Amino acid sequence: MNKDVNTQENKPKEENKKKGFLSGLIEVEQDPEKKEAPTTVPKQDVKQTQSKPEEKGLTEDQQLLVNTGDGVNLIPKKSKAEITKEKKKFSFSISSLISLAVLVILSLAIVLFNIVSKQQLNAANKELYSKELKMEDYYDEIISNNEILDRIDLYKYLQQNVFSPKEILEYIMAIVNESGNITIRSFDLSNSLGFEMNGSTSSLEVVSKLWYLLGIDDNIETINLESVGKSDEGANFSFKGQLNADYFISE
Amino acid sequence: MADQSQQKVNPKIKKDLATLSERAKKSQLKISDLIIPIAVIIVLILLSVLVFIPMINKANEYRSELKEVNQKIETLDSLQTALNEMDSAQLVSDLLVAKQIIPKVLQVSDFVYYIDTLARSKNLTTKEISAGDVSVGGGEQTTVKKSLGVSGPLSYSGSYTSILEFLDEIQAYSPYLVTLKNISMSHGGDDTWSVDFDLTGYYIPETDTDVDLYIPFSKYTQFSDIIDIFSVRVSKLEE
Repeated sequence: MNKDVNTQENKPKEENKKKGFLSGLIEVEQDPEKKEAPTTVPKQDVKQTQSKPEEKGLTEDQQLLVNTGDGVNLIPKKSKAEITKEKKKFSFSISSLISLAVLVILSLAIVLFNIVSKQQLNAANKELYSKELKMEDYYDEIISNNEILDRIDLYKYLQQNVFSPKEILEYIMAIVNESGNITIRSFDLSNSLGFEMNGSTSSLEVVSKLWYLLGIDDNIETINLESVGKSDEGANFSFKGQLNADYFISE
Repeated sequence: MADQSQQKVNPKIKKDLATLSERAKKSQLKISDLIIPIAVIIVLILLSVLVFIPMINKANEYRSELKEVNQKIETLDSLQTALNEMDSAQLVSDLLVAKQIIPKVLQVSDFVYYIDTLARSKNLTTKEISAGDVSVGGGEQTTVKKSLGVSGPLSYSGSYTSILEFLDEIQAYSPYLVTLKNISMSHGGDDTWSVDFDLTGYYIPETDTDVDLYIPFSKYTQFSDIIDIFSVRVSKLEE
């Protein structure tokens, strides 16, 4: 019956003094590596323990922990809540470290970004300044170029409204000569290519023919017979019209 | 004997279990465990508001300023390239030509002298001649630089053909840049015609110009056709 007990008693005395039945439990508490090694107790002792539950004053869970058949696992298994809590604690520790690390990294990143940006701007400003100094050598050429461009712009601006009075007069005179024997007494030409023409001829038929020819010409936008008179010497007329600027100026 | 030993064990078990329970309690999450993360978050928020956001804004300002500076550098580079492509000697020569057509100052006497000489070469008789300064260009709607002109009513008489040639030459081949306005021809009888017109010759007075390196630069050489016209007119003036 007490073979196991005897076996324990056969151990060296020093060990027996230190490690009794519960002294092993205390040692297990102090040394976590030995926690998993279940301390066994004799079967009879277990049976006696089972036969007297009222003596212990333990809860059912504690009794279960103590009475586990052949051996008693004195270290209670961690409940799920305990495991979760421990995990949470561990994760919170990591999160603290991560938070601190993020804070430091973020601070460094922003400061570095700021410093790098400032450095780049300073470098660019230096380069710009040196280039501006270098460009001072070209000032004369730039001024000369601009002076030529000013003159070219003025020329182009004035050329927009330039027409050849010779061409216009010859154009109108060609129509007049086509109409018949007409004498032009005056011809006025304005900047907007409006014209006024006075003349005389032998008959009204010639005036009407001239009016017709001026009216059907594509390059004369409008033509009005301002006045016409018939006398013994012939017919006098006055036309007022507008020339097609696109045609005469583009030419 | 076993019962006695069991009775001795039970109080110790109780004690140990209590220790274990205490340890389990200790392993529970406490407010103190959250102090560091919460403190870090608060510090992070404070730093963000007081330091990071202003620093980021400042850095963004630097970046945008850097972009502008880089653009200016590119502009200067392209300007330098364009100027290097231009022949300096040709530039000076073309400037002289352009300034002869549209001088810095157009003396009324020079201008009238040229017109009158041309009229006499066409056998035209002067009836009226006068000139004065007028202003032209420089309006908001044009890119033309403000310039001045010498303008005045002129009146000549002669043959119809001579008058037409005279008008044509003034307009097309004048060494100065001129415009004819309000042309009025009348037949005086005996194949004699008279012509009245307003003639304006232009000049651009010299002004102190500050060189702006960053305005878009265009080379005058892209208007080589106009420079050629100027050259032809100058050759007329030198004849």
